[in-house]
Amino acid sequence: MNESFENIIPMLRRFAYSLTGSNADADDLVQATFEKILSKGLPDDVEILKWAFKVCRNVWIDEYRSLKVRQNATQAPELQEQAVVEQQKQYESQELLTTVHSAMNTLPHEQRSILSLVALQGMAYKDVAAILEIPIGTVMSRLSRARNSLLNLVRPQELEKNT
Amino acid sequence: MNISDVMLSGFLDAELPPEEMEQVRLALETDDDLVMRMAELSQVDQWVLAHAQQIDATEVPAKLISLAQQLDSMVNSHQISAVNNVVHISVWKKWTTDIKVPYAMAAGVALVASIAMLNLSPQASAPGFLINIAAVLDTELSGNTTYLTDGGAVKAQLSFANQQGQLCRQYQVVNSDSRSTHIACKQTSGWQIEAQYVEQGEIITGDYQTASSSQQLEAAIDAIISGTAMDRSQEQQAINSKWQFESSPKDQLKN
Repeated sequence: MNESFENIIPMLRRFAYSLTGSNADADDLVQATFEKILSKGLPDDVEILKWAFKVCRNVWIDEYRSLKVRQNATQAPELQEQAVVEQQKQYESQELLTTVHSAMNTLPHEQRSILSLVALQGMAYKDVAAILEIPIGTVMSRLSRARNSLLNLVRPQELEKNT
Repeated sequence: MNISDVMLSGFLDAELPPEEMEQVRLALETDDDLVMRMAELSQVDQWVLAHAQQIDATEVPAKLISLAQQLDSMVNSHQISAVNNVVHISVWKKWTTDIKVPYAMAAGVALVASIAMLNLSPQASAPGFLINIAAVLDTELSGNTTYLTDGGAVKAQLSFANQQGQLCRQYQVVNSDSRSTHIACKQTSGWQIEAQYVEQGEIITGDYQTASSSQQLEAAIDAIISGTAMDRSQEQQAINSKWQFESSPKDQLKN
């Protein structure tokens, strides 16, 4: 069970990072999410994690995306630097993550949100549909497109490096 | 059968109907290209996860932890408050239920609690609306919802005698963008509001519905109520006598 806001911080940060592509923006987004829930209140009988993800995604759409924070962030040299982390050792290289990073930034926001919810949280389509307020069929088709797009963007570069 | 990427993606997440899951399984048994394609698609999720996990290595800002703790405290205090209300609430509380009409509050919910001295008489500032409400209070038992011509709804929630010997009613008024709960006591000149609790907001957007609280109103009732809430037969008796008694209402309510 993750039914406390303190417990969901890591998951929410990953989601925010996946959406924004930078540590600074991710933490700002999580902070804005918490502040929004604090000011607006939490409805009765909602799961904290799902509600927080929903608010986070909406804040990202409403504020960060419209302010083009993502674009600015990805262009800022200091934010191009990826943190050297233990987890990265499990993967092929920093280059791959950089490639994924660039590819994620090219995805339409809906595809990016869906892919992040499913890939990071293993969230069921019905829950993704509820969070994004779209039909389940739309989740399914957009997720497939997102996977395809990312594959097409990352795979050629991977193949090129390996030849 | 041709297995599309959409189906394969749904299969990866075990989100296809059972018969389609089986179709994909059968196809995977004989189609090596499909197996390769599935491997590629599942790799995408690993990339996304690895990408996002980068933030795990950075320290969580103290501000985030502080905000999360505030939220947890808010949630816990709300739960404690709800439990306390169940135990603490006086008899009248069990009579009160919200009007079930299409209504919701949006993100910017403003709560306004006030003590007012308004007169629900035809001379009041919004005569049409207030006359309707006064008529409902005069004639309807608690629990009955009356729909107004402007699309709003009024429901008396409970009735009681106050310490001055007047008969009072708590009632709720719901409109498309607001909900208010009032306490009015019957004077010789008409119904007079003693307290009210108003929630105002925009039409529902689907987000951020805020749970309302009327604890201030409950406190107001606790401060003025004499005895317990009236039952239906006592309310009917009060309706028959136009909510006014010639002698002590408490004596008459004992019947």
